[in-house]
Amino acid sequence: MSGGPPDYAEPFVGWRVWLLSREPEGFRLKSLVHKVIWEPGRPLQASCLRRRSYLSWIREPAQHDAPDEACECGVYATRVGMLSEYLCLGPIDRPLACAFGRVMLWGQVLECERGWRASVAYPRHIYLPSEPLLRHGHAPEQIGLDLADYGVPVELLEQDLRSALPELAEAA
Amino acid sequence: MNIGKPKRTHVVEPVEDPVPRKEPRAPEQPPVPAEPVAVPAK
Repeated sequence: MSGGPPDYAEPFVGWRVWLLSREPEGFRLKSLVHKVIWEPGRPLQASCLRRRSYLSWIREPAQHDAPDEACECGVYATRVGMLSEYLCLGPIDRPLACAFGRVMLWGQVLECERGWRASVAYPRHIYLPSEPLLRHGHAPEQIGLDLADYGVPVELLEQDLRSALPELAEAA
Repeated sequence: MNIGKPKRTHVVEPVEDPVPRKEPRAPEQPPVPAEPVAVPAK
């Protein structure tokens, strides 16, 4: 922290995509790039997980707090208009089996051109697209029950994502 | 996630904890004591 007065007294709210990870206690949200599980009831504290050497198999300790302007670390969020490209990764344009939604960001929040990188984050509203989950053999209702442990609204989405996203953005 | 170049850093200190508190489970109701049975007078 800078030690000065804060700039804002309420968290920033952005959008992001999570992978779904089956853990012993049920399905949990997991970050897309790094294998970081978001624990229910606990804010996610960012740390720099960037490897300093591609030859290193072990993550070396970070030399700085996250987020750092000169690095790429921090908890990421973006604007809703950019979400669809992360929901449709891969050579075929079909949505991944994942969750997406709004996320609260606080602590040190680095504002970027199309989103934010923050030091602390927690989900605010989770959406579960049903069709990709069913296609991957998952039961959306059961996953929704597991994700209710986060204590925030969890919604199953039946409709096509490309039409759903603009409506969700407008309602947010 | 390509969110572009950094512009500026904000310090955000929420007044209220953004993490929802777990709803406390409702305490179990103690069993209702049975009505005393009147003992017939001898």
